Amino acid sequence: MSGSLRRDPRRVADAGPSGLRRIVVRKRDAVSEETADKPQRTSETPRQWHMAVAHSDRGSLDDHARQAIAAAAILAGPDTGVLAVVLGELNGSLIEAGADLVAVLPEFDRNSFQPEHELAAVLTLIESYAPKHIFLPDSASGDGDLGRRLGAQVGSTAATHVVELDADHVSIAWSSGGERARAPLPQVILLAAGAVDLDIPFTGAGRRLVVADLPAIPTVKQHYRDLGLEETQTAAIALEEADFIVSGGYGVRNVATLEALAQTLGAAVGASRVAVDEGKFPRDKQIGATGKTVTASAYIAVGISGAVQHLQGIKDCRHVIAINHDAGAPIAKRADLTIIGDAEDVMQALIARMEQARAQREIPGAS
Amino acid sequence: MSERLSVAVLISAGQHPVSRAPRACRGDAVAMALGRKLAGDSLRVVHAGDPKSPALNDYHALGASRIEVVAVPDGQDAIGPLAAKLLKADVILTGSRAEQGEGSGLLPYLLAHALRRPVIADVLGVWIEKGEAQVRQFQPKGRRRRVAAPVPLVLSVHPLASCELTYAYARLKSGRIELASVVAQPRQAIRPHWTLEPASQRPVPLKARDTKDGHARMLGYIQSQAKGGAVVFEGSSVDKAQILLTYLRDHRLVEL
Ligand SMILES: Cc1cc2nc3c(=O)[nH]c(=O)nc-3n(C[C@H](O)[C@H](O)[C@H](O)COP(=O)(O)OP(=O)(O)OC[C@H]3O[C@@H](n4cnc5c(N)ncnc54)[C@H](O)[C@@H]3O)c2cc1C
Ligand SMILES: Nc1ncnc2c1ncn2[C@@H]1O[C@H](COP(=O)(O)O)[C@@H](O)[C@H]1O
Repeated sequence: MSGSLRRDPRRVADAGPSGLRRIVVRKRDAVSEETADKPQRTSETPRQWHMAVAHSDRGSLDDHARQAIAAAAILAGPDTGVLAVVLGELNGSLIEAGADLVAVLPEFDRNSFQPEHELAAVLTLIESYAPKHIFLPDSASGDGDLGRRLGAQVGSTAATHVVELDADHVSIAWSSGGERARAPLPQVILLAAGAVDLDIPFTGAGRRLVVADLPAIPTVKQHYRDLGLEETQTAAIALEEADFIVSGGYGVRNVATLEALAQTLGAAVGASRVAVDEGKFPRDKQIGATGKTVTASAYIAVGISGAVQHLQGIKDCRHVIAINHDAGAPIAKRADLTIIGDAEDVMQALIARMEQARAQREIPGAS
Repeated sequence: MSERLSVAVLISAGQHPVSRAPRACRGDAVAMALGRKLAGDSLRVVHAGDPKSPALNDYHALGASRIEVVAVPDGQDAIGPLAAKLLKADVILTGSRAEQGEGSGLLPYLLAHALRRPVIADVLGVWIEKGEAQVRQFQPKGRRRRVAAPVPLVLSVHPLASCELTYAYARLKSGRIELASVVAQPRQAIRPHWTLEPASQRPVPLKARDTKDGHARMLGYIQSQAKGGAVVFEGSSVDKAQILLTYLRDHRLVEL
């Protein structure tokens, strides 16, 4: 048995989504374990390139952006390198994402509107690397716009809202989804979210280009004036659009505390079905299979067990944090951070800590 | 001010997604309403395609008393003829994507490129002052941005732009179609060659070929099943709050 551990099938079991018993293998050190045994996709010196372009958000790339890089890598032959162009700052590497070469252009930011500069920068890189295909996430936060500008500019074929692709074709929804249409792989490919499986069995070389390596980007005349983002009233934002959600379940006794926490964090308020059924929250706050589907960057689940029906509604949330007094609650498996403790106590402490930190404008003790 | 500006809106033949009944494309109707706010009755309403398309009636009923149609045979590129037709328009409004066919949302970009004009997408509202258009732009996560650009320009309107759409049968009856002559144009953009395929199955996500052996694959499945992040048991509520806050700050989810 190739040296692997023998496990007692009766050891730890858990109810899976369909009610079947499922053996739970405790995660040891998943991250390092996964990357350690993944081989590099190719060791050849690239003779041609695939390019992926995306804006970063707060120093990292979201799943949709990583799908563009994964597509570039999966469809690349051994002699083809993957160049990831990141508009905005980037912390960490894109080795695991599958990029062989990474060009970070920190002068850009998805929060500012400077399409002509961005286009000039990307076109310069296209000129130096002559990528066979260029992949972008077809997202509403800048990449979809940039990709269409690029498509119009390079004057070659472009496909948008691509829902399916492989080495030979891309497919899109035709006539609002009534039918589907396919075409040979065009040069510019804008991917719908979910068109690529992020689970790749290889890594990229991940070398980061330093400024000296980058071609000089010409300055272009800007026609647009960015007048900035409007102040938004977080409480007024529809839950589906909110970027930060604090959500309460059966374990929340005091709704006022949860609302106060949401207020200090600038978050919208959501709820589980049980909490809604109890009358603690209005029906339109319900998140899950029979409620709303949310896409927040941060989702704090307070006193929510994490039933599958609830998890369905938060599958696209980037960072999930749970506050629960039961470490065995299924939410702990979904959450990136689980705080074990009484909901009320932790919420109160967090509010106090936030206010204190705001008063001092710093967080002592933070790493 | 805006009276002296020439404003045009581009409308496409829409289709109900389920019944396939021809109708006004919802997003284009919103763009048309925004154009009426800007230019009143002087708004030009332009369509490229079949002048007999039943979808055009809907636009009459929604307020377009006159529709200029550039007759472009099905499957032929509309960018060239539209650009020629719209040379004099200061503000060109479009919807964000067509309901029939490809619906790529590329048209406003291709048109702007052909006319060498700026283009702003996801427009919720527009004000024109001293030769400059100020635009309120939709952004995800409840955010809105203000952007300005000089006239002439192309604006693609977001379907959430607030506007009033009123349907009147009398207008449907009195509406006129005006056939415009087409200047033969070289093809401007190369578009992919689409062929229809049955959409019976859900799209298959692109997946890397798995080189792992069966045992490793099985481990992979159960491990991802047990995926989970850090779990914090120890410490007082204050310590735990600090850990949570540190997490939020490290990922730049809160600003202090
Ligand atoms: C067809 C169908 C559709 C459904 N649709 C939805 C849906 O859309 N959305 C949805 O949310 N649910 C839905 N449900 C219900 C779902 O199955 C769960 O019952 C529900 O999500 C549980 O809500 P909860 O987590 O708040 O409550 P519980 O499951 O009761 O969990 C409460 C959690 O709070 C913790 N807790 C208790 N007291 C404290 C405390 N003092 N401090 C800290 N933690 C504490 C407990 O440990 C527990 O983990 C649906 C169910 C069905 C059958
Ligand atoms: N044949 C057409 N005639 C006029 N306008 C069109 C036509 N096709 C598309 N448009 C406009 O361009 C927008 C985007 O279309 P598309 O790029 O085809 O998804 C639509 O919302 C319309 O405003």
